[in-house]
Amino acid sequence: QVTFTPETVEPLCYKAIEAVLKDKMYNPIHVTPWVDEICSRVTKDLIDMNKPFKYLVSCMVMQKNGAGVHMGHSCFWDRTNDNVVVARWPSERRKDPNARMVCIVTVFGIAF
Amino acid sequence: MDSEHFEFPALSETVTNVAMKVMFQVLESKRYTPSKTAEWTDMIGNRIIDQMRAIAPNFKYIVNVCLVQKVGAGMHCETLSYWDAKTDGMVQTKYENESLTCLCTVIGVSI
Repeated sequence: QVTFTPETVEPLCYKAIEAVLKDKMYNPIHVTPWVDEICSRVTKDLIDMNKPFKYLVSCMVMQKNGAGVHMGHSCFWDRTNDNVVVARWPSERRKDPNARMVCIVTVFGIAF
Repeated sequence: MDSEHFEFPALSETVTNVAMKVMFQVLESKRYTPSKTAEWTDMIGNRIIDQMRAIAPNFKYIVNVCLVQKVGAGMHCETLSYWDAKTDGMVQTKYENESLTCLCTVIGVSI
């Protein structure tokens, strides 16, 4: 049985986020192509892994100005094979004191 | 008796109505409260799944709920999918009041 592992997916997400957003300021004109780019990079890397999964890659970028944000997901699926990976940037594991934005990438892997 | 077999793109209007109704039920007149957001997102997600399972049982469902406090921050959200476009689908809906914005994405992946 092939399972969807956070250990393999999380590094792909951080690689994409840091490549696109590091040292940038939030900009309403550029944020759309940035989010597109992050989603595309993560999806391409997932497809290249050649595993029998359908994927959903969701990316949210928010300006850092003190607003509260909470994201949750409810799932009805097969717990043995399906899984979700959430990469928050910046976070305790991936610090960036200069970050002017918050980015959350959520990847769902659903076996078929 | 066989249950009816749906394709998700055909269900968009139904899903939108279910999601809007549930967000309204949970969030109407509420102010963004950090101690309550987890409870609200759980409630919205679980209620939408329960209602959608009763309507169309041949899907795996994912409901992603994002609650943002309204203080003028800019935000952009996107979801990219790699699946069977004929049978699988997603619907995104938004609910707003004076204090918060709620973005709800309902995803159906055919079993």
